[in-house]
Amino acid sequence: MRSLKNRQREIFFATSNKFKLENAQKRIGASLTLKQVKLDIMEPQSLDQKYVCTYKTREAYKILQAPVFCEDSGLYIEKFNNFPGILTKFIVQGIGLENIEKLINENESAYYLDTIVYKDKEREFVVSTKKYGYLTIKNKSNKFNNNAVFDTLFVPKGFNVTVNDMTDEEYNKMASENGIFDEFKKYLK
Amino acid sequence: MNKLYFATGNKAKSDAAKEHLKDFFEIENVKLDIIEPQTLDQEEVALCKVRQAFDLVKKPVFCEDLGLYIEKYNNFPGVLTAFVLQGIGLEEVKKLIKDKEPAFYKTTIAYKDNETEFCSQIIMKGYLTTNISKKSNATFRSMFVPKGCNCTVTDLDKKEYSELPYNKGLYEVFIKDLKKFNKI
Repeated sequence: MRSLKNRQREIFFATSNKFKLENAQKRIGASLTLKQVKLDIMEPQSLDQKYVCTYKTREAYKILQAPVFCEDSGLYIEKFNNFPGILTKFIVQGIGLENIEKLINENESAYYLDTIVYKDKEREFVVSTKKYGYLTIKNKSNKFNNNAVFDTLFVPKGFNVTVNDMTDEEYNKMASENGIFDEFKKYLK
Repeated sequence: MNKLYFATGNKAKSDAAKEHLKDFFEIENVKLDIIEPQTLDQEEVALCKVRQAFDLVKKPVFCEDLGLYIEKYNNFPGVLTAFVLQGIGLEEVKKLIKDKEPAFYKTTIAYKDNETEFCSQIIMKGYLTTNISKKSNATFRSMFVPKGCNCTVTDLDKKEYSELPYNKGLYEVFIKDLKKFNKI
């Protein structure tokens, strides 16, 4: 069986986020070209990240009829049940990060779950990675990233600072460990 | 008598619809595989769902959406009410509010047939008490005290409950709108 690499040099990445595309291309490398596509796809309201990502990928494939993937990421507080996960944006919009702080303890266990669902004519697969760590209030960052609001509070395992306060070197080290696009790349071979 | 489909899997909701609309329609409830869109706008959710329902049943159909809104927060939890309960539960919600926190229930009915679609909406004001009802702590009803009442919705008797705006009043608004659009 020929590898996907030989069959298909280009795949679509259904995202409106240019930063995500650039990051993905960097991690996957030049052997495969990612093409950004912005589609008007309904996002289902659910706490099930795999379900949401699969739904969006299938809808994207229906439109494109070409190899495509979607990526979703969510921060999960371990003591809560699948929460806030992919609804983070809405929860933060609703009550603000300062009120979320009322719900957690110092060094609260949490993890980021990243999911990619890929689909082409012959196959569909799901890739997931988890990045464990904890949330800090005492040492929270003064910087704010609108695309990843919990990076203000989240300290990944093996580090002493929040994602927002990392040096470039620390950030690259974190990104290269168990990264979703590195994992995805393995499945594409 | 004309038939009107109600897209719900909730028996209590379908019983209430049958009771309130008995003079106008034969209500048939249908449980459909409908996607709920990711948005905080309850009207948008209800319309999206009723359009999907109409595509499936091809007959006059309505659906209903209910959410609890805490006034000091922005549209929260609203359409996310069920997820907030599932995720953090009422005891944690208490950390986000003070006693007698102003809040309201908003309920939307979305209707669609082959020529018309509309939404009917009602708001029930009140407050959240931190003294959660001892009967149940499963939903915001066990914290919510409607305006003019002295206890939570959970602690109301059956008659008082059926008279609440988001029960009786909702269907009064819906019937008025059905008349406005010449459906009855």
